[in-house]
Amino acid sequence: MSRRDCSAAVLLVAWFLTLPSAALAQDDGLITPVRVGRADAPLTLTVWAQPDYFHLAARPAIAGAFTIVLDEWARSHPGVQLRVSVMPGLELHKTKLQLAAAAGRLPDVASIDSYWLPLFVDDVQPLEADWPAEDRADFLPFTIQTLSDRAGHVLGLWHETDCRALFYRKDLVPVPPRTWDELLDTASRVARERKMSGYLYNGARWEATVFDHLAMFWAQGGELVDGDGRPIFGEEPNRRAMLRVLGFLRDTIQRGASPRSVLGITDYQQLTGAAIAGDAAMFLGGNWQQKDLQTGLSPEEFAKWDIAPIPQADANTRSTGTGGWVWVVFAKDPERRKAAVEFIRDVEAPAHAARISQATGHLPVRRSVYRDFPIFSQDSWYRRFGDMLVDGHARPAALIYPEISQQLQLAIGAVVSGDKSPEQALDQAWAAVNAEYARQTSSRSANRSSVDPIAWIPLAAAVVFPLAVFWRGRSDSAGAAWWTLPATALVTIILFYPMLDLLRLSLTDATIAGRRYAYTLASYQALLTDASFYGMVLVTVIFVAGSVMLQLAIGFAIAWLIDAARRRRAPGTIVARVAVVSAWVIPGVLAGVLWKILLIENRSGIVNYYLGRIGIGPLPLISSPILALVSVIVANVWRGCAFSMILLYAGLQRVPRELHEAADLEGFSAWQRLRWLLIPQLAPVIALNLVLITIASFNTFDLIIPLTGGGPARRTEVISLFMYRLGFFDLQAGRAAAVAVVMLIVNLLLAWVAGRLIVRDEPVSREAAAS
Amino acid sequence: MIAAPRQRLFFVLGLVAVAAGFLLPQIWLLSLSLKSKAGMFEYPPTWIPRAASAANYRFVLTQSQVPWYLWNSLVVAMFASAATLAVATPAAYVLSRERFRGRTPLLASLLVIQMVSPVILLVPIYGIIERLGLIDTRAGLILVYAAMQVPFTVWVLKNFFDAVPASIFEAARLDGATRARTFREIILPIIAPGLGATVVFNLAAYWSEFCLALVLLDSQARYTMPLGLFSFQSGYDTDWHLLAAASFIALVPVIAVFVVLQRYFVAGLTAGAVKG
Repeated sequence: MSRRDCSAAVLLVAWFLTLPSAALAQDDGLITPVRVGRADAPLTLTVWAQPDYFHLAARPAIAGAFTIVLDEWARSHPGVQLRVSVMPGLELHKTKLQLAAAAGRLPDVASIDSYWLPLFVDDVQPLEADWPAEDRADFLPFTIQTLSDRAGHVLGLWHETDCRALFYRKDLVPVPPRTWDELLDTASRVARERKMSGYLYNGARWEATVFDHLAMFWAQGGELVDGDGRPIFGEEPNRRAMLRVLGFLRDTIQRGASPRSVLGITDYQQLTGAAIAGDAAMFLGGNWQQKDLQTGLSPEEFAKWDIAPIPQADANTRSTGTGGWVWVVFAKDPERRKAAVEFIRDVEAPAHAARISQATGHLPVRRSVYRDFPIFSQDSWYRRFGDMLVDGHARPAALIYPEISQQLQLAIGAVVSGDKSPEQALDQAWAAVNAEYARQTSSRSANRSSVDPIAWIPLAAAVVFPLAVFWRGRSDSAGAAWWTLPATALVTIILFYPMLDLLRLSLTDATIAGRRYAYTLASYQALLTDASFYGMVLVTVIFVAGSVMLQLAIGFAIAWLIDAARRRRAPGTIVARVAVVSAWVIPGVLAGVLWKILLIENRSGIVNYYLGRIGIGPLPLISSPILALVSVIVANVWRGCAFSMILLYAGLQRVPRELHEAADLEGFSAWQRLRWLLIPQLAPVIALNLVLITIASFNTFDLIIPLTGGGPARRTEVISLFMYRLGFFDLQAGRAAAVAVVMLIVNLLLAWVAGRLIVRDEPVSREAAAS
Repeated sequence: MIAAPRQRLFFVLGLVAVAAGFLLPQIWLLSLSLKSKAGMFEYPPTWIPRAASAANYRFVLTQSQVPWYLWNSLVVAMFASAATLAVATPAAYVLSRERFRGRTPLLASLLVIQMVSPVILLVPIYGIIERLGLIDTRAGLILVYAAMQVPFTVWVLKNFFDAVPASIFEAARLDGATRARTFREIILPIIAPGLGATVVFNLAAYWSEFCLALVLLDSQARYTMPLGLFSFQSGYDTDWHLLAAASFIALVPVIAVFVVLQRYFVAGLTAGAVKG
């Protein structure tokens, strides 16, 4: 590096260091983003909280309430400090806890969704020893019942609850609908007359899509599982109830009551956002959203909104899903456990709980809070939500529930998008849940060995291979091989051994969270008989082919433009180059987030705004199966063009000047020059580029996770995302490994082709390196 | 060749269009990061916020864990690139300059491994790091990152070593310098630009990496920036205005470093023919 570059780099790093260190330096208070309590306190408890329920909450009111509550706790407990993590997104939080449980790394205290309890039943500690009965009696009965085991131990402290309701605009919907038919009539009329969304709901692939609509199933008397935790939602009469719910959801689109964009709604904020943007007459939301509407809308706009019970098949039935988060204690050591229970009881003491619930907009679960704090008994919103809780129904605390939810999410997506009939979708979900249930019950009873000599084979092979390579003869050049040892060792252990271990794992039914497994071909069988796998192959092929062709074409066009402009001494080539490459240096996740923001489907999305202006929008850019795939490809091309551009630009610069001059003399047109001069000259670079961007696109999923999460249904789920989900949501290491082996084979084939091209092209790339 | 002014204008307009096309998303991000939560949903949307404020930046830098994410990303990226360079440079040197048994298979294996994405290996890598007791530690992540970039770094540096004229090595040998001494005192200074290119390139790779960090880290206090940004999308509600501010903070250093050091990026890319 030149000295100028060096000093610029040093300055940058120095400036950049000041950012975090300025904040980290404030690390002396009682409450910091990573610690609560005195830094020198002897007892440290680790806490995995949820992001909306701690002092790090993004909403200032919640953060403020917790700062007060935690500060009081810290002052009265100088001997204890908390190490705080707030866990991201619902599913990830759960997965992280499961992995931690498997490895014995659980935090001392965690906040979990109530329906996860069965997953951690072996690790949660009973609380009643440090939690007096008279205080427990203050909690709403369902909270204690749901969290007690058969032996009568209380395993968690419910911190808040919520319920779902129909939010509607009084000016557009004078009488709130009580039945589905009324809802469809009203919503489609408003949509038609006002050119806005009549009725919105969560329809993307996430938990709330199922949970919000379970109320419509429960109100018909439907049950998901029986008393032993066996799934029964696919058996009559539950099947009929579920089919009616799916049929209703199909009708919301067919009757024009809801836009297809509901398939892209992955958080409640999108519902609030549409409401604030004036694009929703009704939506199925959660009680806490009343706060969001209140802060987001002017008082006169907010006054137009009201709530009603969720419309049902039959006007005389009512139900609403009550969720809620629960504090659990994992600390086994008595002293830590005592401190942990004391901490959660302190946070949930009546005065604190009241303060927090006021800030969050969730519903308290203590009777004394409703009694002693006027806001909860007098405020008309709280009072009416409190009334709805009477018909509240919690999700079953059964081990199979998460799988039921996963499958119903897919079913709802397929029905709403029109891909499948309710019957087809339900039958598929039912079959998948039963298969998983069979696996769960058999893996609990099967007898497997936990000592596995075969596990050592890949490691041995990985170590022997490089040794054999070097051993075959004496070193020609004394000691030279030793210089490669550290690099070889590192690559062997961290990259090469995993490739071999992948093969072994793919032949097991191992789970990531479990120690026991057996060798079987089941993973491959499951893969090859899984109809959705072929769908994913198709999605991947379209994604890769689309990305690669566009990246290459656009990258080439830009490289040509910049090269031609440079040869004509036009200004601005550097700016254009920096702009293109700036898209490429952005982390993939960030690119996904960025495009998600650009493509927001209600009127506040900038792309849809301009599409609307030119008369072809707004379009369901995330929620329509085809457009979502197009969006994902466009985002990937936006990011990836730079790579092609750089390689091809370097190639163009190496085209000898004399050839250009000869072309000038011949009077070549631009097209002739491209066809007869540039493309033949660049052929090797183009070929290499093609292979490399194919590999890169094939392995991409960091961009897709935040953008579509693989939805709607599975229409943007590429193979790599499928593999990640199998491994780190479903925790099925064996099945994930089988998918990974397929990916590995594709990668190795492409890498081999690229290797051939590079070796042939080596003198050229060497020259580029030196320039 | 000096073109006619009208032709030049055509090219300038073309370049401006390209630059705008690729920069507009980032500019929209900047615009959002200066808006309030209510401003996010304004209709019609505005590029220049009516009431621009730095409140979102103040919030993410003082009341969130973003400073920790930045710090972690920095620590991980620095240590990982130092480790990568430390093991890759000697290997690249002998692979370029000496002939020994195993050289060709080693080079070929590195080339192939370089192109296999570590994403494919998530499950077994998690297994190894867990057995080493390094889950949820920066050390575990650094170890994997260091290994991940070794094949690429070896190849790029080998190309740079290849480009050093043989006469320099001859001269050193005639002076009786050992391999280590030639390497340290003569060759390293010559290939400094190559080292710069790979370091810049590797830093960018570590800064962006998401999948491995997602799987290997638990505690938020150890999250790297991409993971931290991802965790801004919370369970129920995403606060886009804050996410935009945090994203922009993550973006600035990469783009700044890139603008200053862009020719090293380009050199690194073209030299190694890397994964994208």
